[in-house]
Amino acid sequence: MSKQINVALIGNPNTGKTSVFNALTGLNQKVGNYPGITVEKKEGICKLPRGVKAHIIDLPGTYSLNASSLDENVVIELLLNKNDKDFPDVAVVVSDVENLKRNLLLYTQIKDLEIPTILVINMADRMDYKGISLDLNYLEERLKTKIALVSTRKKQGIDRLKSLITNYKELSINHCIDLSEIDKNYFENLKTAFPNQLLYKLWLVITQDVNFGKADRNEIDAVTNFKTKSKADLKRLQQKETIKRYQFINDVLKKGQTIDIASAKDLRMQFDRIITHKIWGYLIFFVILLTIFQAIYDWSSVPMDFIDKTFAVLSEWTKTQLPKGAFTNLLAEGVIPGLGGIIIFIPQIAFLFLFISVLEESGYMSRVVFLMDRIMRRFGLSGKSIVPLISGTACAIPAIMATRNIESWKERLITILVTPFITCSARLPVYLIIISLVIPEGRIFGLGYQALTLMFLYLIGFLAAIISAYILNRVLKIKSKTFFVVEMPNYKLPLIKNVAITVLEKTKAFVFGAGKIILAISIVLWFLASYGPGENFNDAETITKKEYANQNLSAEELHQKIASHKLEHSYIGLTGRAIEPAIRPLGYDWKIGIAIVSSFAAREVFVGTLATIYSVGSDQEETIKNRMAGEINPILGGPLFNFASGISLLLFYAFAMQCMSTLAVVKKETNSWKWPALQLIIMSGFAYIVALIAFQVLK
Amino acid sequence: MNPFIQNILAITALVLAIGFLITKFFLKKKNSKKACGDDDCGCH
Repeated sequence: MSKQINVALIGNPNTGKTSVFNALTGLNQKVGNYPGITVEKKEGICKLPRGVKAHIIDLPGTYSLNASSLDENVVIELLLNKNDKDFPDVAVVVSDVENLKRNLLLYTQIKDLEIPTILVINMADRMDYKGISLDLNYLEERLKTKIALVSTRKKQGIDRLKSLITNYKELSINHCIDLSEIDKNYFENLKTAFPNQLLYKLWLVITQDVNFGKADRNEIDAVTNFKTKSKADLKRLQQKETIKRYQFINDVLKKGQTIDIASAKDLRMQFDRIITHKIWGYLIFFVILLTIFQAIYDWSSVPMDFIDKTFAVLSEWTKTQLPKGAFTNLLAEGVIPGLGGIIIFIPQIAFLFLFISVLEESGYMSRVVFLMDRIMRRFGLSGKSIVPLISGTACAIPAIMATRNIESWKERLITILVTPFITCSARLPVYLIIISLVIPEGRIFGLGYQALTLMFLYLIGFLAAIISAYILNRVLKIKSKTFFVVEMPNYKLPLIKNVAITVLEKTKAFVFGAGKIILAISIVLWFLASYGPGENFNDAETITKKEYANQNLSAEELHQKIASHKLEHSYIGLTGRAIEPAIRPLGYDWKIGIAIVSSFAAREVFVGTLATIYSVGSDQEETIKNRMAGEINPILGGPLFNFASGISLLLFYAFAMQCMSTLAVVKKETNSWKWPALQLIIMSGFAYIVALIAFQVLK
Repeated sequence: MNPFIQNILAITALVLAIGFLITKFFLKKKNSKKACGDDDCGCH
């Protein structure tokens, strides 16, 4: 059996830690520039020389071992607990060649925990560009370690890193600084009280202002012959420790690193001045948003039409070519239209994530975070809230989980409560189909009305989020304070591989995550729409023929009337009619009502549900869009999806809390049903009122 | 294909679909203690 060792990958945010992880494990994973994007624990296996296997954990980005947020706790808890199954045999500290001084603080702390540590100096390809040269032998000697100079972009240095990991037992575990130099008496007393414990580990447990799950502080409090210091004294000692570490680092880098400013080329400052400018910055961001939404429409129309037509043909083919019966009908009228209703949106989702990924990879997204911080502060949120809010454009669930990065409970709670207002990718199919039905295709200044409407919906989602945050900030009586530090990573040309992986993973998650639910709901809906109780359903043919006996209907028209009668008296028809009085003032019929109720499982189910309902009993080869466009409002006459009902539906979906999974995550993150219940009542109530006003004004 | 077999297949699909939806939305995993912040949420 081959030997397996535990390797912890640790580093400051934006040091390219995840790229090193990808290079070692071959596992594909998102690499972004948000501060602290690696929130969850990520693991992978790397095959090393001599048949050794490394179990690699990509730990959350942290600036030091003085944890200030939940994801930083993950790092410290693991490093302080030797009994943890993931406790590293060797730590790999990833640093960025341009920020070596700051990155080495964390390195010296880990080194003092007596864990064999390798230093990776990443982004080595930028050394010439920045005029940096390193004396690696000197650095290795002073830092008491082995160094791998790595460029993940140019695939350099990974083999050396693998070889160093394999030979980790040869690494020194000597300390970088002597703790007794900080306060001789205190540390000697500590050593006497706990002779068998590692001194720096004890110091970290005493000074952390967090709750440890595994590393127990009570052990220290229980020892009566050791008197710990007051909080203020401990903070003072911590500061002394940091100063000592930086003195050591400065001393090492004075000889180990040379920066020739004359040969450094730096356009970054000039770019930043424009991109984060208080007027130009917002204007550039606005133009980028406009371009993205226009491109989403222009580029995806051809593949979308193709997919729509293909599913219509497939449904028709299934009905005519397979043996007649319940299962064939289920496939042709339930499963295929239901799945078609989601697959049709793949091009637009893929283009959206392509743009977001390019913006993240290039380093621009961090500038957006900085820009937005100026606005967010006025609404009682910190810049850290922007990370979940931007993540919310993909899905509210990971976005709400990303709030763990926010230290202040009040800000975290407000961010959790307002994030579902942000337009997630699940809303996109609903928006796109309704926009295509009710907004004309014309253009103004080269921008399509449809693209502008889509952008408007994204903006009102964002506005709803920050206005609610402002109100919640006033209403919630929770006292807390916070600070926000954002790191601006260097501008980089996006790596095609990383962008492609992100687009593929996000699209796959969208299709398979929602696809399984849509498939299951389509099957259930088909049954509910194809069967019904009582004579009205079972004798639909006789009743309809009798009703239209005096009208000269063609066979096809009569068939449509029978199908319509059956649907109205099916189980789903009866349910829909029961809820119709509540939704009629909004301009919706019972079919839309059913789609709204079923889309509580996931918003994108709305389109699949309508596609299934409209397909039942229909013999015509029709695309989803044409079927929806052909629906007539049973009360007012005219198209069911007109401007008034369309806008009403768009606004309803913009504000309503239509997602069971999000409510479950909110419950999990707040540990209470109170917050998700309030979210559901307030958001959906507000959505209903806005949709009602919109329809009544526009009809 | 025999209509009886078609009905069996359709009902099997329905049972599987309902089973999947129940598992997905009603049988939840246990909450993690780590799922909350460092203060005030009452889970420590």
